[in-house]
Amino acid sequence: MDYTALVDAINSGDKKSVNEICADSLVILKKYLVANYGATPHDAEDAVQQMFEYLIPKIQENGIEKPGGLAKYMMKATKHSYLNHLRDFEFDEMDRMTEEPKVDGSQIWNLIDEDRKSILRKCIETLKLHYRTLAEYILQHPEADAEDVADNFEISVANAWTRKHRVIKQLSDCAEKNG
Amino acid sequence: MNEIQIYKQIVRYIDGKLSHEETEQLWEEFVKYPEYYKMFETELHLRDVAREAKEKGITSINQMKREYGRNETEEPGFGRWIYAIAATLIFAFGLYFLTGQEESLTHPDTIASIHLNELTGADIVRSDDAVTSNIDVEINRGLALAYAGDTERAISKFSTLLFDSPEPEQKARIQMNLGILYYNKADFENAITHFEPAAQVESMNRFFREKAWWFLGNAYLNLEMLEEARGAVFNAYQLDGRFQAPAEEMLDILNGRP
Repeated sequence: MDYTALVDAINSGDKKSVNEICADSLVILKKYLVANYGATPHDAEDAVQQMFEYLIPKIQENGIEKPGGLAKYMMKATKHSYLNHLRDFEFDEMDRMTEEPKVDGSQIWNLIDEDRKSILRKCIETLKLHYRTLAEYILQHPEADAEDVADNFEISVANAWTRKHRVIKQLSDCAEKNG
Repeated sequence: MNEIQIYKQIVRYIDGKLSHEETEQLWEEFVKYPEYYKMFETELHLRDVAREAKEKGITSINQMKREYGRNETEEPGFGRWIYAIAATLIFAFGLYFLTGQEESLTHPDTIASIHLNELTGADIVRSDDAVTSNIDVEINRGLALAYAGDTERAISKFSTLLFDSPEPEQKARIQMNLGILYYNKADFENAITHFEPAAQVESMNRFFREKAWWFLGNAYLNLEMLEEARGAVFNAYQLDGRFQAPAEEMLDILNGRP
């Protein structure tokens, strides 16, 4: 996210540009709440909207000291915006608050989307050569880690990581194109 | 952190191995760089697809294709409009795949493939020694197989020649050719095992060595071996031949990375 472009767009009242610049980040912030705090999609949507309404005047007042820390600030503000659903609080108290809601890693499976899985299966079918072989191995051994992949294909662990990374990138790009 | 390090953190996150602090840092990276989030989403969904496949006893991609292709038409009738959309999507995917679009197997900054003109033939002036002269003939036969598109037989021919005690220069040519053929199959590990020794035969002229270092650098980069890629490409650059300009460009790209 380009902080300078965001500030310019906010200061010039260019809502369209603001939405475009923040679009991806806002979606990810919602997923952050779902994955880490068990928020429902509806509550996550409300929390992120509320955070954004608080954020815009803050940026206009130059209230965020470190532009590079905008992502961190947005995450913190989103989290505390969600806390508003749990108890009443004021945004201005945010910096004085020390309590954090409990994080439960298993909630990441709430992010699973069946349409996404369907698209991913189609993308898997398009893989070629050793990427296809690796994907097939993963289907057969969902719990396999990089060391298992290295042993099975008789490659180094470093290369196993590289291949896994490349497969994920290809599938990710394919899913984006077809999603 | 570079992209592979982020990917490793993603895997650790899904495996439940990150601390709270590390989790927060990872999500901060996702907010800053949405493409990292997309990698996480893909890894997560791939795990779920694989888990489901294992539960259903699916062990191959073709079997998965048959299983989910059949189930999509046999689902009960509620929300039939959803399946009309799915059918449309599947049709659109079919058109997309029929146009011959292929995902690239190479890194975006490397050469996609090596032209077969770069294959190296035997010396024009052959040795008087019958054995080495025969090896030269076989090198050229290997070239003919490669030009005819018979890559596997060409690889087999060149690989066999390595056991016939070729002279150092012949060996360098054979290994250059094997490196090129493996590179074009996207088998970068095998390409590296042949480009590496070919690049270091001092008795070969600098144009040959420059080419070997250049191709080696590209092969390393395809495997995201950045330090090795820098070294090989720098060696090509220093030899000041026809690959100097692309080598300089690639060094600029590599030096811009963390």
